[in-house]
Amino acid sequence: MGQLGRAFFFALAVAIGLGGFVLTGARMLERSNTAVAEAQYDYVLARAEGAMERGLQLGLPLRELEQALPVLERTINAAPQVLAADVFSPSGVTLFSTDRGAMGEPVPPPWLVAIDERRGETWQEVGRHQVTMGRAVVNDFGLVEGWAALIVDRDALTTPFSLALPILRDGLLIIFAAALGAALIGAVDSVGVKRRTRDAIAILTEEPTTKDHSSHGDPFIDAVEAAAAATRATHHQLSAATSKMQTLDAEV
Amino acid sequence: MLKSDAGHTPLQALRRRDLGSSKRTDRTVLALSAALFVLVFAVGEWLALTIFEPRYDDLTITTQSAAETVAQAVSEEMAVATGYGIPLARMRGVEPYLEGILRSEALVSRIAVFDAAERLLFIAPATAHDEFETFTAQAVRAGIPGEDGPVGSILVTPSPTILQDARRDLQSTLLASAVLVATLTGVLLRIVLLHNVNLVQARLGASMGAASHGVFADFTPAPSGPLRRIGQFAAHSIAPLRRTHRKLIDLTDEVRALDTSSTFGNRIDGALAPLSGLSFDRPLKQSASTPPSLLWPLFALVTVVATRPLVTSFAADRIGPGDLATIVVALTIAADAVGAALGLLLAAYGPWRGAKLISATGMVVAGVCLAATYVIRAPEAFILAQFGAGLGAFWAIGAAFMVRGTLKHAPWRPAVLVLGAIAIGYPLGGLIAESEGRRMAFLVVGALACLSGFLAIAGPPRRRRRERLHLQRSLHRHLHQQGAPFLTLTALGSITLAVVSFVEITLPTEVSRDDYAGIGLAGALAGGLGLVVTALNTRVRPIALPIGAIVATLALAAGIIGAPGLMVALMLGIASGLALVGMGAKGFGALPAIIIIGAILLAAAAEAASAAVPLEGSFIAFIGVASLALLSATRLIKRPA
Repeated sequence: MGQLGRAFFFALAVAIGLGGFVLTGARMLERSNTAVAEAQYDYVLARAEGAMERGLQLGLPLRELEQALPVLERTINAAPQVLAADVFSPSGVTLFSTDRGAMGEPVPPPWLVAIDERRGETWQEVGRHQVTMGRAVVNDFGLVEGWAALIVDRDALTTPFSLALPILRDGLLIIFAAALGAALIGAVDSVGVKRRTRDAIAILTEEPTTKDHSSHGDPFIDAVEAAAAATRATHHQLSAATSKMQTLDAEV
Repeated sequence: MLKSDAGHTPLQALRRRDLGSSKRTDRTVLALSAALFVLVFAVGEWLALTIFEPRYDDLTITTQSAAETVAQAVSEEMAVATGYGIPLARMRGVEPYLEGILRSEALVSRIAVFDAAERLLFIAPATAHDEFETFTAQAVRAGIPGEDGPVGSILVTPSPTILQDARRDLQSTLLASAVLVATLTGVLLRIVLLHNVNLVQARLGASMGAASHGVFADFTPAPSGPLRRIGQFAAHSIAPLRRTHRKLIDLTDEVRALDTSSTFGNRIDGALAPLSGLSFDRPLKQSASTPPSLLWPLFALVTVVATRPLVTSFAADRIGPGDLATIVVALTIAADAVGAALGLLLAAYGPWRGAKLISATGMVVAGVCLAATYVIRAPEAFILAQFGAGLGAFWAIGAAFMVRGTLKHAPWRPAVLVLGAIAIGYPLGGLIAESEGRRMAFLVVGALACLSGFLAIAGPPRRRRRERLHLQRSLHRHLHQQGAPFLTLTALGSITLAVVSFVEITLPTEVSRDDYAGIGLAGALAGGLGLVVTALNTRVRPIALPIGAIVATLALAAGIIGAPGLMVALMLGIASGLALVGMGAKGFGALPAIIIIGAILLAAAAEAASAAVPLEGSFIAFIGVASLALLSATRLIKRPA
């Protein structure tokens, strides 16, 4: 990895790191938003369910509970972006609804799947344009008499990456500048390879050396100097031996 | 003689010195990592202030809307009571009622009731009485309707902890990101510099040292890298010596041939005497074999690791039937481990012909099993799919590691690869799950695993031979090393148990439930920190294992008492890095493999046991971790550091 490679690598690492931070941080913010909104709607739903359960204490079956519809009407006014509120039987037939046309109709099958797969008291079904949250309406004997459901606009709950991408777009310029800064850090010849190469080559090619590049204390440069000196000495010895041998050759 | 030449550094002295400049490189890499940390942290803070901070207004609005809903609900209840003719100021039991709302609703922190003349009648919590004046800034108000207009109002303060938590989470994420960038970059740079600069320079330096003694043997330039030119120049500078020496030998042979009466023998020897200590051998041959590419195993491993942040949380809250969720989590972990163990055994001792086909088939099987999770709803099917994924993936990846030369000569490569895959795969899987949901994440990662299977077929045929592994011999060798089996069993067992118990089970199912990005970041931190420790100076090696076990115990204890997940992951990363340092090449033997699999099964058993006894799975695991760490610490006392 040369200096250019290191610069690119540093820039990439910083860009990925900061990009990851922005995405993860934004996702956490989205989650906080969603959690607060969900808790708000769950509170509304729990109140509606509580009001209906109080009505069931009188011994009436759920389908004959007259105050169910006023409770649902109050519920949709309790929080913004609530589109409708329904109460339906365990078999999935709508008993009461703020949407009068829905009464007596079967509920969408995904709601029943969400009920089957629920964990905890509340179930949730996320649709394309709306989110449905529901809770069981239980009588005094612990029997599920039906389900109360709140239909909320999908925009009320922050969708994944709906904040993250705009945040990433806003921060792109800063991330790019940071990556550039990292590239500059990476481009510095910090391990001294260039200097060492230059000094070593200067010593090996017997160029006039300056004291500063000799850098006594760098064991590698010391070794190169020792090798270069030995090479020069050996060259002289070989020359001397060759000339002696040539003399002998002539004498023979 | 050259050996006595003044001013030349003796070879022995050179050997004692740092010819590769590794200390200098260590310092440089540390400084560069620190610079990157500061850069990422500072820029991240800037992003947090300029880009994130304005977005908190949305969160403030949402919390105020929630507080309004609560205020509205309380005012409706009050209106019903006043409708019966009870004066607002003389109502009884209002404060306990308000306290009850505060206990059940984390969204609000204070509720106050005022009469029409704005006199404070009731407030909860009771302690808020004294600081009442200070809490009206963020509060929302709802009127209490009466027959002749409002009879009072309700003031509700949204809980400030929601915003505080969001800001704290952002800071933790920033810190983890900066640590990850600095450590991963530093480690990778260190490894690259070690290969391209330090080792090459040490080799060249040793050659130079030999040359200073008249041994002009090995000046082979490095095949690539920044120091190649030095090698080339050095080789070039001694080429004339070799040529002259060869000519001299030819001339000497000629003279000896002509000197039939041997009258010049003494003079010939005398002329050659000064050269007696010199050596002009040809350069040593370099090994032509290049290690196998590890890009494919890295890609395959990343796909396997990417599902790890999702498996146990999915088992706990989607697959596991209610009370038995812990059993399903335990069986999932165990099935995966048993599958992986079988896969590795097959890779080591199973069929080898058509190794590429094995790798391809294994990854496709693993990919299909992972992707099948998209439609799986029964616990049995999910457990079976995890078994299949472990078996397929580790057979395939194990076959790539079993190529001769990888484990014996470069055992650090698979180790670095596994930790690197954890550092990449965990956040990748977490972010896919955040974006598309868990089921879709399994499908996407499964598809990627299948793709890696098809990629295994691409490229030149794998004609390399397999590493010969003898299970019995390896076990025998390890068991006869003084103290090694005891330390491996106790310390490695303790560290693995702690890591699996927290990172695989507690973190996804309890600490960071549904926070897949957070789980991903914590996993990456554990992997990344493991890499850092392995790249550090290994002077701690003799005591690394017991120290790692102690760190793992402290980490798990911190996790149990509610320390932040990222901090526990960081400590566990250090512990696993210390395990790698302590084990070294021995970490790739049969005994460590058996102990790791055993510890994973033990972690699963601890989780399953929590269904039978009134203790958390992590606490049961902690008892095991602490006991094993204590046993390994006895070795620390006996053995001087």
